[in-house]
Amino acid sequence: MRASLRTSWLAGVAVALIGLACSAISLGARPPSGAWTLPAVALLVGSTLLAAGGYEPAGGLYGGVITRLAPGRRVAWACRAAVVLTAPLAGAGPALYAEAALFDALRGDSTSAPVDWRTTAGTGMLALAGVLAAGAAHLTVGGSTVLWAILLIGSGLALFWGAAGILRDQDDYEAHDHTLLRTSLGLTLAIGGVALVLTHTLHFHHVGATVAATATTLAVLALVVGPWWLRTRRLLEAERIERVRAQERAELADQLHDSVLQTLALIQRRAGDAAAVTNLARRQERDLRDWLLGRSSTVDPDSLASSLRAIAAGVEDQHGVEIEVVSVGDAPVDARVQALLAATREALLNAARHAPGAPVSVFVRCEAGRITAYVHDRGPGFDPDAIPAGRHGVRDSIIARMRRNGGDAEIRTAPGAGCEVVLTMERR
Amino acid sequence: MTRVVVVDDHTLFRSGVRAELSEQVEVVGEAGTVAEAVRVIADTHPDVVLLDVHMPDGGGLEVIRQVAPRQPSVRFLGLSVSDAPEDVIELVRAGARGYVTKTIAPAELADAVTRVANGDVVLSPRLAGFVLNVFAGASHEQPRDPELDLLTPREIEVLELIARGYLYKEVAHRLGVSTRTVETHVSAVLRKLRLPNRHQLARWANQRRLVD
Repeated sequence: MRASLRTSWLAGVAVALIGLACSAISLGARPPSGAWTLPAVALLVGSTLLAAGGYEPAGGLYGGVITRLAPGRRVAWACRAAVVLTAPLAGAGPALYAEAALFDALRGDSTSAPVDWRTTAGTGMLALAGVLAAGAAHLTVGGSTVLWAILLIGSGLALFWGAAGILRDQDDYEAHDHTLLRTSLGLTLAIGGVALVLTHTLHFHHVGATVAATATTLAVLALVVGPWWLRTRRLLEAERIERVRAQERAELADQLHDSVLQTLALIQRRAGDAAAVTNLARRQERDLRDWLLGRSSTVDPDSLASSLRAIAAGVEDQHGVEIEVVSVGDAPVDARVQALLAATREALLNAARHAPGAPVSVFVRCEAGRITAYVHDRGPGFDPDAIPAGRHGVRDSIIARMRRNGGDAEIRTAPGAGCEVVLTMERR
Repeated sequence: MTRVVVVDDHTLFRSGVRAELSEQVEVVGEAGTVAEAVRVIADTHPDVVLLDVHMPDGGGLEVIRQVAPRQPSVRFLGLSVSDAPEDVIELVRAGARGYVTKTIAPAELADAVTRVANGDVVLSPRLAGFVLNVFAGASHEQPRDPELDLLTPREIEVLELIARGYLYKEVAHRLGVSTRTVETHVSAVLRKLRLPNRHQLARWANQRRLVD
């Protein structure tokens, strides 16, 4: 809200400056110290505003009309130069520009980004400086009243039409602000132009009173419209926040329905089966934690750590054991890592089968040169030499697989001392 | 007997712990909010505070912040619903001497409380792995900063064995040292974790918006 207040304050100053310049001209007042003071002031104010607003090639400089209509960057700059250079010639450039803006608004294509209002005002002031300089050098064509009336009405209507198309489907607040400010800027200019025509061609003699009346009307308008504008803005902001909240709530509800409520229902139905309930609770906890930590519950097939977690989760669910997964570092999954993961899974399955109920840990360390995996269970252990010849599980699926892929496996166990399978794989 | 205060906003959980622990330790007080906890701890001067991580008004972290400067002799053991180190690391950094999950068996909980009362650290395999990750990242990604005292090779060895699922006494046996020595290493690691210049940890916490 503070930013918007500052913005409207700046807008007020800019409009006041433009109004001051216009009224000074329409009153026919002589510049206090030479004809070049006014162009210099306009130049200064214009560059400051332009510097504050910045130039966005996608948006444009004034109304964005040339940017939208011109076929290329070079053509666009040529058109802009033409508009400014022909402005002192009875306002030809701005008049054509206003026509183009009307055509653009009627065409109804408002997909481009609205221009920052400071950029618009700055560009306008720079063009004004050009016209004032041309006037000081006696290079203008057309009577002073006609010229200024065309300039004011043309540039004002161009702004108004340019903004009207964009204002139609506003959702973005920044854009909304800029478009509103440009609309009011455009209206002010156009009204000023009309006032100029009225005072001079219809020969109102109390020019000062007319200007004062116009200023009062504008001030009243600002007082009426200002609060309304602030309120609209606040409503829009509130609506946006509400929308975001609703979205978050929906996402949370989805998550709870899909997982937690489902699990709770299953637990109630299988309350007698302690192992199943533990299993369900463990799986749910894992899911929920992944979700809370923003970790995707889908497996990243290119990450060793993620694949390892998925493998351990699979074994946990199948065999009802609890597996503590710890990994230090991570590695991309290539053929060697794939073999290491397969052997790790085999070792976990072995532990689950031969040490039921005992805690199982898997620890994987990824270093620059090698990856080491430890699968450790606190089960009864066994005598490695006494494995029956017919049971090839450990030898084939773990040791042989690792050696075939350029790694190695070692089984450390003794009766009563648990079992640890150590898998090492050199990295290429 | 070890004197314990249980701080948790779930009444059911507090009474469960009280019933389970009454044989081995003396539960001298309970609290369900941060303010209540600070008052009860000041009144009873317990050896160990069992502290829930997630509570309204700042949780266990706020309790440690308020109590630790006034009663440095009180030791804290974190209680977490999950075993994710991400949930408890700030508690450990604030001064908790480790954490246990709420699914822990009563005998193990009593054992952990006793160990913490004796000045030891309760380090789970996941927390050990987490610490290794934090320090490994610090040594790989940046040129080695001499002011950043990284883990010694022996400390890394101890942490890895804990991460592999070994108990302190098994770690001691494998390394041929006493259990006391293993505990000293673990305490040293915890101290390094608490240093404010842990760039890696700070960055990690920032990424996950733990520090605001």
